[in-house]
Amino acid sequence: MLKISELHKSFGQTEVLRGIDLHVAKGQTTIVIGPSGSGKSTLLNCLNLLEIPEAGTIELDGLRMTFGEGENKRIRELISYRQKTGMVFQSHHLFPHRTALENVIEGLVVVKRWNRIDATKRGKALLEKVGLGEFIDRFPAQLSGGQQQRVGIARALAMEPAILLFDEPTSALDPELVGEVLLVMKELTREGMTLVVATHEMKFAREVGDRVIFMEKGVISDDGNPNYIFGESRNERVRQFLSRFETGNELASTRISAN
Amino acid sequence: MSQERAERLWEIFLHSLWPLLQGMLKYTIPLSIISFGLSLIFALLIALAGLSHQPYLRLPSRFYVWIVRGTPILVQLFIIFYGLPSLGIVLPAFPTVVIALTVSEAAYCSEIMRSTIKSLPQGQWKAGYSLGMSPFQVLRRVILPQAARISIPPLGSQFISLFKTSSLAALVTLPDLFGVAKQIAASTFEPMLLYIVAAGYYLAICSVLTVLQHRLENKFGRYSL
Repeated sequence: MLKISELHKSFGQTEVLRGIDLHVAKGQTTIVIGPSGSGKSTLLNCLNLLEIPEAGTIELDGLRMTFGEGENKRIRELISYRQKTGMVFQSHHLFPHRTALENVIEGLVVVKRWNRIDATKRGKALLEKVGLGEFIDRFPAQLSGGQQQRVGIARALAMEPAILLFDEPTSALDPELVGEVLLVMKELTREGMTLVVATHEMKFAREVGDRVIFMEKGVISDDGNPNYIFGESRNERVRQFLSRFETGNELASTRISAN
Repeated sequence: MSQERAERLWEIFLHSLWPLLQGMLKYTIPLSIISFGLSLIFALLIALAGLSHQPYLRLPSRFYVWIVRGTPILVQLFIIFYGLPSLGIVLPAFPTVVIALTVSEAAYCSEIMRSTIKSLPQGQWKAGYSLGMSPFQVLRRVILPQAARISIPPLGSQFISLFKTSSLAALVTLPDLFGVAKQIAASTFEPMLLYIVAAGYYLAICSVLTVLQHRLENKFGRYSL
């Protein structure tokens, strides 16, 4: 359902993505791990076309986009592609001048041209679903970090995207607020949503991921199910990386210390 | 001060109040409001052009701001009123002042708008785009409402300053608040009294404007607790 091949992206002289190939099946949860600067964030931004790749192809749900020389994308194309994807940002990027409910229905009203009554109904249901039914009229500044992030999830869900992208959704949160966000995400995977999640939450990755990819220096250097990545991978860099998450991943750390 | 002189001053004071008020109501206030309204519209366009990635929009915008901010408004006013007639373009005093104030004010306001739009986090654009909004929709629904709120205090003081600058109208023959004060001062030989009365009127209106500006700030500021 999502197929990307030979994706390249540079910022100035720095090549951040150096040929990414990835297929994501419908209903699958793909976890992207890797050190900072490995290109996880850029990959997700490219999947939503918030960054335009320099080369490669992306095919989502039958819509195919090719990038490269002479392939200047018209804004219309970008917009119709972006509507098929939802994005949850590390620092939520909620609209501070709108309430939780207004944040959630903004896309429905402005982009999908729903009438306000239907949009409000759907917005309320979504906020209910992420456990914020009582906070619909709060402004983002009146919510905790975890609540803000859950509004962000509801806002992305409102557009009924084919795929939901999470760019380190819990990295900016206080530790005690991480759980509530992960719980909502877990619920989504249970419902069969297709997720791609860049995260440092290794426990979550093992429990919820159908597949884990390890990125390093702009390429996918290992790829497999959680048992493989966290247990059997022979990739030296993967094991080094995972050894830093001892509490989140006892298995990998014992393997490494056993060596 | 002799009692006779004090009585004369009191008499002139009482007789000047109404003409000065008339000058303010007929000229100073309309000039300020019309010029500010027009300049906000132009300022937004100039600011957006100045933020554009397209050089053919950005460069003219920057050039305009450079010229206008680099020359005194009094000189601009005199160019329009006394200079243009030599090219065969003769404008009446009122539109001349409106044009001069608008041209100058638009440049300053556009800089305020440009910097507030620029100061908003990039993430706000990303969030809008990620919902499938067009650049125009993000601008209208996400960026401008937030930029408007941030720019209210500086735009407010810009208006207060414009209100006072409108007194230049007197130099191109308009009988505005300052113009009337000048006339009466000349005919009564009491400049001190008349200019203090004029100053009192300006101060009164500016004080009201300051209060209004604070109200507006509070109204728009309700989301940022």
